[in-house]
Amino acid sequence: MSISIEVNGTKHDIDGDPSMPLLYALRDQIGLRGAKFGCGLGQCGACTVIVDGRAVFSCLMPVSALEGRAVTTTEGLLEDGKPGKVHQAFIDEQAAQCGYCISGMVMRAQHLLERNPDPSDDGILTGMQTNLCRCGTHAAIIRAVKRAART
Amino acid sequence: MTMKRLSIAIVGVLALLAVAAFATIWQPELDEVDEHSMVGADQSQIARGYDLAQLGNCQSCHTAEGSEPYAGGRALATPFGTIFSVNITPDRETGIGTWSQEAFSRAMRKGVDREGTHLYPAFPYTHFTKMTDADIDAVYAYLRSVPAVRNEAPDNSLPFPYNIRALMAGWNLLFLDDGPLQAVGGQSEAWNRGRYLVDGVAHCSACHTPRNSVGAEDSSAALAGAEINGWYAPALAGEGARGWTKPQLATYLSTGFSRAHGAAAGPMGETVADLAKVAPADISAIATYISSLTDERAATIAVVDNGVPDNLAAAHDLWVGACASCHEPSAATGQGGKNPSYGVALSTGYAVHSPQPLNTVRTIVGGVDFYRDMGGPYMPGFEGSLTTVQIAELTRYVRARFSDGAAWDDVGGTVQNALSKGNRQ
Repeated sequence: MSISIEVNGTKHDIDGDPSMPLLYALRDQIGLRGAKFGCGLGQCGACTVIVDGRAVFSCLMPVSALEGRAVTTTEGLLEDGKPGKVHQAFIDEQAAQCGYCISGMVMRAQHLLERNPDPSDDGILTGMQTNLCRCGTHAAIIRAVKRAART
Repeated sequence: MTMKRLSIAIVGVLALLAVAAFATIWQPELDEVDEHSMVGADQSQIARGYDLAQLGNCQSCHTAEGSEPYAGGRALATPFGTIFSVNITPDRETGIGTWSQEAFSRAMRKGVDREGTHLYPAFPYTHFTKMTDADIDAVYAYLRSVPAVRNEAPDNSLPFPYNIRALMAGWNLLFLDDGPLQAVGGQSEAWNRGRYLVDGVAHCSACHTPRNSVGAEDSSAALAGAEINGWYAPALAGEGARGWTKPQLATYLSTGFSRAHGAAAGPMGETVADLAKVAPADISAIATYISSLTDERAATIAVVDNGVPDNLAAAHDLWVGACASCHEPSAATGQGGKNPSYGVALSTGYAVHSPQPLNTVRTIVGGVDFYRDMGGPYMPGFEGSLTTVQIAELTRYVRARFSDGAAWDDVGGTVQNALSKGNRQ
């Protein structure tokens, strides 16, 4: 069975089980390796992507649920092949330590800033709460979100 | 008689009672207290007041989303219109900073504010009146100790005639039984303590008891279960009530989770997040009393798994992709899968057995996210990930697969309603 899904503006035909999580389709079939597998339970946020303007856990997103919906991944935020605004803010603040959570963090931040371009400190904490960083660079991540909001 | 006619008739009766009882309508304004009164209040009294405020879940209603604790402004949807909770911080302009202990006590016992205006029973003074003077004074001392926040709550949006506060005098004649609760002889101290907390400060029946057409609790159906803010508060007593043992309930109330009953979500999740801070003796007393209502009969909830419903193959794909990693029953035990469902079967929870789809739908939409700092149960919400149609399909699927109940009515409408409310209300 083949399902057509739109990722970063391009249509892809996904072969296989319709219950397959979007994360596996992205990484194994389309070759976009930005989103990471962390817990597979929607608890850590490493797999966060944006679907129709909402940040979602791609590990809990069956491809069969994506008919006619638009997916954006961290690769979709590149501007002319270079880091986009949120990427650059994370680089400037050196917000990554091991980096495993970062593409999920970037997508969560992108979603937050699309809904509220000028979030308060509390708004950033609440908005980023679903994504975890085991290295503990949360302070730098919050600075990066603030920097992205300013630029 | 239709409900509307009945309401009109009852409003008429209330109006007559209000006229007849003018003396009870008119309540004097009480003097303002000095700004620095209560400074140096007894620390143990403040600590007791803090515990009582957690038992009473005060902060939940008196805090708007994302704003300061107790500063009010949360919209409370009632069948009569929207009521906004008020600021109960000690701010002198917008809070209760000018209220004396006497004024606070009158509000708690009679539902009248310092200026002499009647309050609405969305503020559960019909329960708080059952508290002792010492406990009411302790809550007052605690509320004097929280940071003052300047925040004017929005005006209520209540249509005529519910916007006439004086009508509440008639309502109080009918439905307010004021004064502290008397202990029942022949029962243990813990049981009486539990009953005092349940009927008083914790106001459990405010959600768990159905209300009549003018918003008073139906005392003939005490704790028989009721719909509240788009959730269903299950029966704690009577025929429809599940059995709870005392240890099961004590664990559930202090952690949000019981292996025999599942996780507390929705308004009960908010309540548990406060109860988790309460002294174990109080939780134990509540558990003693509530479990006695079902004679402590053990919860015997059989694990149900009817297999994949034939007519819901598309929903099964959604289940496998979105739910199964936590909830798929283990082939070996028939119980639930791995963490974070603690290996507890989905059919354990009340939500899938309830006669209404409300709790299942609201949990899928908003998840369970009250215990992030407590290590308690967690489930991500699927609002945004799944569409209205997909959430409805999944709801039908879990009902058909994990309960023996009949298919629910109007699942689609319930999902739409839940999505329009957002997570918190």
